[in-house]
Amino acid sequence: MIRIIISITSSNWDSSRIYKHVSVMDSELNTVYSRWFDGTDHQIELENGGLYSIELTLPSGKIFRRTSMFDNHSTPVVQFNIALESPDKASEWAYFSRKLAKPVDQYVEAFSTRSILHVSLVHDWRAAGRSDQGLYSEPTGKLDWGLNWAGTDPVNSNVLSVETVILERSFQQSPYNFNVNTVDGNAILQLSGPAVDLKIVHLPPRSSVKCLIKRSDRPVAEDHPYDVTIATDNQSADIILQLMSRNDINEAEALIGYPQIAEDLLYNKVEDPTSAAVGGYFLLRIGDLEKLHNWPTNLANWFPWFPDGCIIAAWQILKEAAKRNVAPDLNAVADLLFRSTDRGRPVYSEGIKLLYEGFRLLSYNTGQLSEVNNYLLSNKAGLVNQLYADVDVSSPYLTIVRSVDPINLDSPFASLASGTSSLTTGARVARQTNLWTPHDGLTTNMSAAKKINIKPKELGASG
Amino acid sequence: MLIFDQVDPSKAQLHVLIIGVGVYPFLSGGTSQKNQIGALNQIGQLTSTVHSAEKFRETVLALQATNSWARPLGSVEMLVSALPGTPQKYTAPTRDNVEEAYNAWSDRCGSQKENIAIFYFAGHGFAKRQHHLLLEDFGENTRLPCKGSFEFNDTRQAFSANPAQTQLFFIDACRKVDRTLIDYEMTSSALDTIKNNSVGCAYDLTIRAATHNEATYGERNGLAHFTKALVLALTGQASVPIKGKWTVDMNSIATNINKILDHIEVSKRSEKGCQVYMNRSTPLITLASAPEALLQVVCDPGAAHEIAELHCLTDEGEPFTYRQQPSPDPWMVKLPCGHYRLRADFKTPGYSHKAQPTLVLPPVTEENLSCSQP
Repeated sequence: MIRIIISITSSNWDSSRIYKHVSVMDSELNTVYSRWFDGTDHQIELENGGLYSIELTLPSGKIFRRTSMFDNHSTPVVQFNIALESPDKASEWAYFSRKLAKPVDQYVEAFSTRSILHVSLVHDWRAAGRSDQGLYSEPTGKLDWGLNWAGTDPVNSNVLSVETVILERSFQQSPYNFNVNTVDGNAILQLSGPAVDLKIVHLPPRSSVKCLIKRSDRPVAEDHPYDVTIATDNQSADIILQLMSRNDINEAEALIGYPQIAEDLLYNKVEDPTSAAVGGYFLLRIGDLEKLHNWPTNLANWFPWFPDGCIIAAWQILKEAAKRNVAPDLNAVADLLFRSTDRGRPVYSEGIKLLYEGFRLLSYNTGQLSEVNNYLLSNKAGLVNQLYADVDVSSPYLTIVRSVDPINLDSPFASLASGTSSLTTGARVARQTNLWTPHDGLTTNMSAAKKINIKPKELGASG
Repeated sequence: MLIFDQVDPSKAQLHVLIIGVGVYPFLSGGTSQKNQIGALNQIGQLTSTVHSAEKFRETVLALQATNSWARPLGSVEMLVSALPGTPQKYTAPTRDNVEEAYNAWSDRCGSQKENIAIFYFAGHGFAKRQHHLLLEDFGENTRLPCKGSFEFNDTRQAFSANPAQTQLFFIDACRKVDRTLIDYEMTSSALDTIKNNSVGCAYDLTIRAATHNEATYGERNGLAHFTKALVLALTGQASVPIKGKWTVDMNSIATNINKILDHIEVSKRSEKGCQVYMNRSTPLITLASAPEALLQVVCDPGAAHEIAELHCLTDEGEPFTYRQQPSPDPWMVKLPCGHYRLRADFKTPGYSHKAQPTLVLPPVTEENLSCSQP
């Protein structure tokens, strides 16, 4: 009998808690141990000494392997220094959980024309009301477009809250790390700049969402030059989402195999509906319909602000019918998908994919739909098709990239910061620091952080 | 054209449809070139797609020859262009021919739930709202050029209703669209109809060589890069040891294909790799012998690496291979997978290293030799 102690070195306690997978292969290449664990230490007991390979896999896909001869009755310690994976300790959580290339100095020159980046966080934009195109259009391409959008909305009296940060040239070298509170409603993170295409990332509503913005390692003209990484305080959901995103379904199934994580995520939907959606999407993906129970219906009904619940419930109907080899109730499916689009865009990429495929399925089977649903389908399918064409499906959270509008290359934020008169009637520009919580290694000038509360109706005339 | 026909509908089998389009008579450089709209005039002739389709055929047949497939091969249908100056060996990949072949392949696949269906396409493609895959008669009707293409997204979703529960689609084609085409609403029709039960099969692996708005690349008169990586994956680079056997399953392809792409030597690389979708994994191939894998060795610190004599020994300690010349670059060596020992020797005093065991697994094993200073 031998007891192997796995010892993990990371810079932050917080990042050390990220789940890691450990497996042990014997000299005949049989896997004799396989488990996910969190924390910095893990013990493995094996019956006999011998030649073993211990493999540690991070959710990012990075593999560390140690091969050694272990003596019987010994208690060897095998150390893995995973801190080396991250260029700085504040970013460890992102580098451990996602496949991110480290910053490369040689690309600085290639990015010199894209050095100014505007990052804005739009809070609860759905509450700001509906425009002609419904909630399926983001409120803004750039902030000034946002003002126009909100200003033309005739029914809204809610406040559209926008925070902005202008990142300076120094940001080119280090990732930009911050926490945001999105608990009040659905939020989107928007990146743009004088020569940077618009990138919109939908954020899950939570009390704390970690964001990391870093320069992309692909300085190709047509690529977006910045990557956005998002994490929440629900590790299980994050890792399943990440494993789904990189198609490592075997590892994801191994993860849910122990603590029944996906099922638990759904069970805990009252406290955490967005993580419940991750569990639901995963069970739909692998076709484990029994574990879904009736929870998707509850997820759809109990959280009227959450689009993803309806999508999961619709696909549960479709997949269960296919499994039982009966015709699905396509009107019920259509009703759920329409409800989803009425609530806005899904938070997750998996959601937009299923929404797109769901509408395609309905479009090919219009004979089975009611007249009303056929009419609604003709309106809504177009919106989804249009959006899906711009979606970056490699990102777990719904991410949209649009080309820069050459007419609007000037920064709207520059005028906001200097307090131009066009905003005085409708915009209240207030300094704030509580929602943008920078981590170590922050290189931006935080004095540029602003919170802008805009009453859209009042902006109608001046926008 | 069925180039392999041992179809037995009473048995679970593997059925493969291979489409390789290199000749586009109505596009630039074609024998019947026509004036097309916008950037369609810039789409020309290909060679790598034809060679890639041939290579994929060879790989499928070679794996059958060693009884490696999880299901015995039932059929291989080929629709491949004849490059200029070469005879037409296979059915020409025109829209009519592809429709007919697709229907026949779909019927063969649908005879058994346990069948494995493989669809392979190499040729031109572009994507706007649809993913258009261009066939040999693309552009024959210049007002309706897409009469000679098919739409992939709908085709893929439609096929998911096929009774065969293991479905693999490999699409080696671009997904870029030129700005000059944005004003045109072009529509390609699918090869199949999406039914109300087109909601996914039990085991789905769908890989497109390009992500959204990306191009794919290949070597003229050589292979397309994605196909090169795919063939390497199927023949062992994506294998994992399971119960003592080297197995290629859907998960191992899905998680390794981009790593393999990263390590093949190419003149130009698609920056974002390929786009993979998988829902659940099942074994596809059991290899007859251990595959080869790349071993990458570096010494720590770097100064030690530059002067180290690097040796790779067998598990029993016998010399296997060594680095010919010291160099600051990582030592890359291709080896049969398995256990080895690595040793760094230093002629001049300054560093020392004790031989350490290593396990070489595909596609790449990275080893860092920690060299101590006395």
